[in-house]
Amino acid sequence: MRAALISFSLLFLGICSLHGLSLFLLEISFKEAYFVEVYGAIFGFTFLFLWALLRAFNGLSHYVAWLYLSASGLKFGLFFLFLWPVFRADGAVSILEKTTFLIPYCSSLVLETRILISKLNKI
Amino acid sequence: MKRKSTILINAKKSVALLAILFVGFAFANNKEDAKEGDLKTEIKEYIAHHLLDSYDFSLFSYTNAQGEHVYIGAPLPIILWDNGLKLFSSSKFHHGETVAAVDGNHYALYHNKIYKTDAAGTINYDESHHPTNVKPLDFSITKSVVSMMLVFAIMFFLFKSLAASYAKNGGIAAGAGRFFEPIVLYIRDDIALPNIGEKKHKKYMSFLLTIFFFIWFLNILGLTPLGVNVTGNIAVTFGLALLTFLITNLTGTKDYWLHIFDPLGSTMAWYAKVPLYIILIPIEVLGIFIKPFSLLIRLYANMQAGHIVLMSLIGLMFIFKSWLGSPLSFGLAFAISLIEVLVALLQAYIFTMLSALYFGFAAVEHEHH
Repeated sequence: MRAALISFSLLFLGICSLHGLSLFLLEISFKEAYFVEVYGAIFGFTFLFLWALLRAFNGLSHYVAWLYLSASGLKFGLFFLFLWPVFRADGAVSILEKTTFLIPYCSSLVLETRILISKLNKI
Repeated sequence: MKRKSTILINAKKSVALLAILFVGFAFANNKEDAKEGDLKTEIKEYIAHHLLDSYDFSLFSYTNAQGEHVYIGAPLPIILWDNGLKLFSSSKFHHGETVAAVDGNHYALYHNKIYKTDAAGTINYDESHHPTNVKPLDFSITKSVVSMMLVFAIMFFLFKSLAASYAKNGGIAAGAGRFFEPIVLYIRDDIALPNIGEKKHKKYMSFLLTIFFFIWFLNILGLTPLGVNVTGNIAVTFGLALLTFLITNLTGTKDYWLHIFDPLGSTMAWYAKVPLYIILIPIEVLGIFIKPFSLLIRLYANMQAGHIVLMSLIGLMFIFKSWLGSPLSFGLAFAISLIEVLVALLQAYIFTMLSALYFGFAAVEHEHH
């Protein structure tokens, strides 16, 4: 469990660094892109869900994919609850804001799925 | 040669008869063209009204000598949550003709929905002509709910008495059991066993039998003159499909989920699978939702369409009002009714069959070496 969480954190940090570097090179401020808020929120949610998911493997291994789907849906719902109003505050969602959400969200989804597949194969 | 000429004469006779029928049909229709527009609208409204759920269990209505519309049926309880529980009889609406006053609040029926209004029953509209009045939370026992309760009661007492008769006759079917036993056996032997397998089919049998008889009885009830259209209500079919969805996914084995999240298995290296999985996994995940969605739409659309076609054909009798058109419409409506009896059974079968198929996917277990 610990290894999976550490590898997720490191890979997510790598993606975050690459994305941050791109913004820096393009001379776009982090504040303008809500970079810290979005990455912080997505990392927080995903880490929490992964931790719960990995714990579920001990007793509820047959429900784990179901839990994964529910958690993914909930994570997407939380985006609309918390981040969408921030993006919509100025009346429109720019491409910059969309990419700031989609890159960490899709990356975390891929990493989560990778962990799920490897765990399912070990049951 | 003689046989050929007989066929030709018969064919000519048939063509002539058809021509007479169509000419007669056209003559009969020319008479009342002016009134037809109003009648068509009335029939359309009647069909639309029949397809919707209702707050009272009306059987039929007629206009008496005084010109009053008399409804024969029973009112049903209205249960609303509007700053507290509001419970009253649907007779207060007088079939949508009056405003119901309850605890100082006023409610009116508009397009078969309950809105909070003033004492005069005023409905306010936005630019798109949608009502802007408050719509309280509605937990009313509607005609569809009563029909479902009726079917539940029929099923409960029917199968309870069947079980009792089995116990009494030493496991041999008697009475109605002789009719229902082959159906139960068919569901087990030809639906559950081939799709789910010997090992796990028992776990799903109770649901499959319940869903089959529930849909079948409701469909048949929809063909009676009671005028109920429960399985043509998308909320009902949604509920049924939701049950299939939940059972499928909550009983899904590791192999079922691996098929969704790792469909290629160990056939190739993980880095080769990544670009494929970007497309494959979303499709598989969408499939989880599309399967029950297709169930709900199929049942809803088939039953709704059946009711529309049947009611339209019956409505044609009143449009033609002729010695030829009306019997033709009646004959056609009768033939379609017979087909609908088959459709009622077929839809119950399809829903059960597909549910069993999805349960089979969920229950799959591969040998791992």
